[in-house]
Amino acid sequence: MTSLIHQPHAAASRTRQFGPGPRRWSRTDPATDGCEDAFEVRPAGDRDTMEDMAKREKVLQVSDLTKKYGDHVVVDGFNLTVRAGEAIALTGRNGSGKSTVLRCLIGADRPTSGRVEVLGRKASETDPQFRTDVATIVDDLDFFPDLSVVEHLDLLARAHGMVDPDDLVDEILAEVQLVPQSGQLPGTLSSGQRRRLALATALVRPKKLLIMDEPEQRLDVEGVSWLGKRLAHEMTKGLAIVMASHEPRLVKAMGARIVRLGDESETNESLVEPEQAL
Amino acid sequence: MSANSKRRRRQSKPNRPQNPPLPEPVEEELSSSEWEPAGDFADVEDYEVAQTDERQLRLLMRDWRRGRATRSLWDMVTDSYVALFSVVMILAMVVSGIMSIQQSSAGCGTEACTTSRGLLPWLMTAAVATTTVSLCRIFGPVTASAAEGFWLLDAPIRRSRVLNRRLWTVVALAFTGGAAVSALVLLLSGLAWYAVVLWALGAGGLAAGIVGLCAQEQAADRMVFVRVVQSFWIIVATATLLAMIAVSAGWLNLPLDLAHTEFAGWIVLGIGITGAVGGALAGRIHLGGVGRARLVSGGDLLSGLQGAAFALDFALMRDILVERRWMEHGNVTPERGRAVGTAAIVSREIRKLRRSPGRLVTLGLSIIVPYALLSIGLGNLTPALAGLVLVFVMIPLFDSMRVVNRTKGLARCFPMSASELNTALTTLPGALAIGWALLVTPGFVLLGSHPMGPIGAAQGFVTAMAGYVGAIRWVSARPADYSMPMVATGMGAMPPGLMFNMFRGIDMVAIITLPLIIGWSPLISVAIAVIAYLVLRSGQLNLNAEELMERNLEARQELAALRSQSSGKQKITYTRTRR
Repeated sequence: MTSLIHQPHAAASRTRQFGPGPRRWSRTDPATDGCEDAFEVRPAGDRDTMEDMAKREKVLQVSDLTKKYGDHVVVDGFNLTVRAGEAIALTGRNGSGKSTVLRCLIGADRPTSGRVEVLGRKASETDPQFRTDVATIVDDLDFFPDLSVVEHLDLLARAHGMVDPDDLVDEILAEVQLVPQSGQLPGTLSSGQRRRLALATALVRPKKLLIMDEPEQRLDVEGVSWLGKRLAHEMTKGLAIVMASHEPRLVKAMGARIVRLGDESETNESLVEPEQAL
Repeated sequence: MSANSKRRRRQSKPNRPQNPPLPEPVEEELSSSEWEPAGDFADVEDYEVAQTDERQLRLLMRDWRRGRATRSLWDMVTDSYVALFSVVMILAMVVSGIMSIQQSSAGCGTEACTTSRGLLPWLMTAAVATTTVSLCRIFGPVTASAAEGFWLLDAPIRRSRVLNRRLWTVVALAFTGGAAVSALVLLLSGLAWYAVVLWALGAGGLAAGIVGLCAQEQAADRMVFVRVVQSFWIIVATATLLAMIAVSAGWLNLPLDLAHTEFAGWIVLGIGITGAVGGALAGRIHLGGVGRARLVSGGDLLSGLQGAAFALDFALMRDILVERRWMEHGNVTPERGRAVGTAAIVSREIRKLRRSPGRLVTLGLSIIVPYALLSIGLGNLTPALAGLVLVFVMIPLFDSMRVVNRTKGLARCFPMSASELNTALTTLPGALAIGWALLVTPGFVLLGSHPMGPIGAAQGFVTAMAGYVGAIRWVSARPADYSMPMVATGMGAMPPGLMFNMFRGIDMVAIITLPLIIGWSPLISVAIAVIAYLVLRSGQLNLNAEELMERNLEARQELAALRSQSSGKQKITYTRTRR
């Protein structure tokens, strides 16, 4: 099992966000500093072969997932297997069922039939182990109105067992470029900043599967570029990702496999390349 | 459309030139790639621009509103006659009750009675002023909807002229509302009729003056003065309330008689009228400088609260107000957390309490309630009444639990079950409730209906548990489910649970304290409270009907799957042998 105690990176110039006094936030992440080479696409050679992939641990297994609202079938017999270090991008038109699939995966909606397993256990939103393994960013994320940005991240990291999360919190804050807003309360953040905070909540905690619904929403160009690189980096550490997205550059940057919903081939996993699918 | 409306509409139209002649229809269809207008581009400079008249604009708006009404006032009355009839009946009962209480109050000649009656007008005036300034601080007092902010306030017109009528409406509302509420309560005190009128008009005038001054501060985009006024009146109201309780309980003796109170009524009336005129004029003079953001933010808040009020979702109304309060706060000095796991959540709750200690002060002040109730001889009813007060005092202590329970997104971020998370979030309020119980227990032991006995000692804890569990119920209950089939009532269709939802929290207090009221052992109350806490903590009561049905269906599916698996294997049969 992965150690829950984070080993902080050796950052040369690091500042604290806690306590009173002036804040000296000067460090910026080179990854988000400018967007000249912003959308770096993971080359096909970097991706694991099917044989390598097959050896990896199955993180998510979806079998014959069907979701109906009354007589209206939104998702019909959806199957998916996601292994460690693999990213899946669900694409398709508005209303094709991407968000419904994701909500079924995280247990926010109950499927009409079918089975969802995470690391061999039946997915259940109320299961503490599920909550430990799976980080989610969907639209129903709320924040405490009286906790500042940095305190949210500190609380989540500590709740997940991190004894001294200060360095990690600092770095994540700098990455999502919320350092000047670290003491702000969520109600005063812009929609883009709230999105960045939502992303930070997923990055500040240990996880094995990350499920996101259009993570690029409300992010600026630099933000999308950073997100692609950051997620690709997480994948190299074994994180499995499932996301719905309409942003081809993000999908390409991550080298994600694409499952296109709303097509006749929906019941099987689609393995089309991003250029063909988006 | 009436003749008047037509006339207004004609009047409201500025002098415009005749529209330019339409271009001749083009015979050949334009392809999408060469999308170009057939004639010249329309330029605004080609049109005459008249001076905008605020009055005409207002008439035009009124005409639009009336023209789009689909129901007349009579239609509305016939639709809601049952509700109106009920309101009339209830009002008649209230008036009858007031007359009866007024007569019995006037007959009470003890020193405590006289002093309390003398303090009541002061308390009401302070309460009206506090409420008015608090509402002004939240809403504006002058507001505009988002649409008005975009369409109306952006027009090249004098803003003060458009908002003038709105300010006078709010001032008038404050005056009549403050005077009416004050008069209604003062009628209970047994004061002479003219004294009631004096104090009521004084309170109304004070409220109107506060509205005017707040409008002036709104125009200047300042909050400091409003905060100072609010703090002043809160202190005055609290001190008067405490003095009144102390006098009623016989702990304090104040040399107040009705003659003093009636004389003071004239002074308050003078201050009120002066304040009303001065404040309203100050507000009117500065009204033109009020910023659009300040106007629209109050309007947005009002529309949000209206929506929640129509759904009778008081928790949502409170959420909106809490959110607004912290948005005004904007920034905080971040504090580093402590510990890990659920202990980190408890530790964070302690820091949050330190950040806004007002909640603790209110809880501390509520300790006096059971003492006061016991001292006036309410005996076994004290746990129920004090528990009810405690519910509303404790609700702010469960703000975090409310956030976690209203949407699932944040709860999913924590690596623990709903029970564990709720336990962590209720630990600090639980500790405070125990402290509250310890502090009120001497009152129950010394002044209660079971003095110096174990039942008296237990009553304090039962009261605290009732308030604690009631507050948990209040913050964690789901709102009424409008997706379910509606129930037909005299007041129209209602979702099931809407009415019960109004009594959430109160129901727990009633269930827990009922055994004490009917004289059963307090242990029964404790047992009920523990069971209720465990159920609420697990979140099971928060499931709506659809979720319960889904869970039921899922359980049946799993059972069917198990049966089908076992049917493939050899069945073990057992046959009872007959003897």
